[in-house]
Amino acid sequence: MAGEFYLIKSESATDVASLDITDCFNSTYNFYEVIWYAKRASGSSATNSYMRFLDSTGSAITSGYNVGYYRYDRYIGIIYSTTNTYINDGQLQDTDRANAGRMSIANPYADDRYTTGYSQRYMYTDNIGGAARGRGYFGLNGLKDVQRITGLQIYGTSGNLDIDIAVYGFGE
Amino acid sequence: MAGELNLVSSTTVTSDVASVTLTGIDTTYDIYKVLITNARGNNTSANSWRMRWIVGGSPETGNNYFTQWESHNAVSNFEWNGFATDYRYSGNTEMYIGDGSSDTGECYNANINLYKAYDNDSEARFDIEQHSTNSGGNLIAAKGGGYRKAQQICTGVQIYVASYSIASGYFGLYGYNYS
Repeated sequence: MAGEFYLIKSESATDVASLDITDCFNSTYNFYEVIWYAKRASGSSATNSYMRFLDSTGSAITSGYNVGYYRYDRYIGIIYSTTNTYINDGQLQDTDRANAGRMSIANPYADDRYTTGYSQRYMYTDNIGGAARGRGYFGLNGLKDVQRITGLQIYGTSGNLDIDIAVYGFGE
Repeated sequence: MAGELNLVSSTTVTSDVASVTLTGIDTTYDIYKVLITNARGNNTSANSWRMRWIVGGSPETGNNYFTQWESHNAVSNFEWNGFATDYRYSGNTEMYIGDGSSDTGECYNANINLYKAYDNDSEARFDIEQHSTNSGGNLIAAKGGGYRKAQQICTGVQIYVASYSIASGYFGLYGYNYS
């Protein structure tokens, strides 16, 4: 889809600890769509992937995230917090496991509005209740703060990732 | 143009209006989309956003609107199966499209797809992804959908906030095709 649905920026990297997509939010757009794919890199022992916002200086915001997710796998979980240190977490428990998802986000660049979003993401996990199962998350991402957000960061723990990310804007 | 998102009509509210009407739905596109950003009511208590179909040039105020819903927040267990019983089962005179408060830092944002609106052989329906702040000042996000149990040609939508006026916001109607 093109027309009033604009690709603003995309980034890809392989075998990296993290990837920043900078200056993907701007004053032209208010409502965005983000698509990402974060896979455990070849030979890596990464166990999780996460996402964070980048502030007006390009630094990752490390606290104060509001999240509210349904988590579906063998069980149904409800996860909510106003003090999260990341959004869009995903578990990578074996070779080639990936956290793939999409997120709508409103007003990240505005410095007089809270930033709110909705994401859904999927991963295949290798040990949920003793068995391998698919896992999906659906729900709220946000920052109850009026600071300007200019980009996104995806990063892993305990190893490197292969990362693809794209950000689109809706024309007004 | 095939596959593209095309702007049909839009309005930017900068002073109080009772409602916003977006028209231009016809046979040109398979699916229409309503995008609402930075919308605020004219009172900090304005919170509950609503929508009606435009039928025969006027908002359809008859009964038989149904809305189904789940919402997520950061401070408590979530709601699901609709905002209120009468929105789910009994039909209503309007469609609920989410909470969105209007205090400092707050606003209402929504991405709504409209299906079979201009089709008198089908019941026009919508799905919605919406995020904002609720009346308690908590960030919320929600997904849902609804329809009016009637086969009628809908040429647009009317959007308003219950009990108050709309003070600001962008309201756009777009169209796109399956291929």
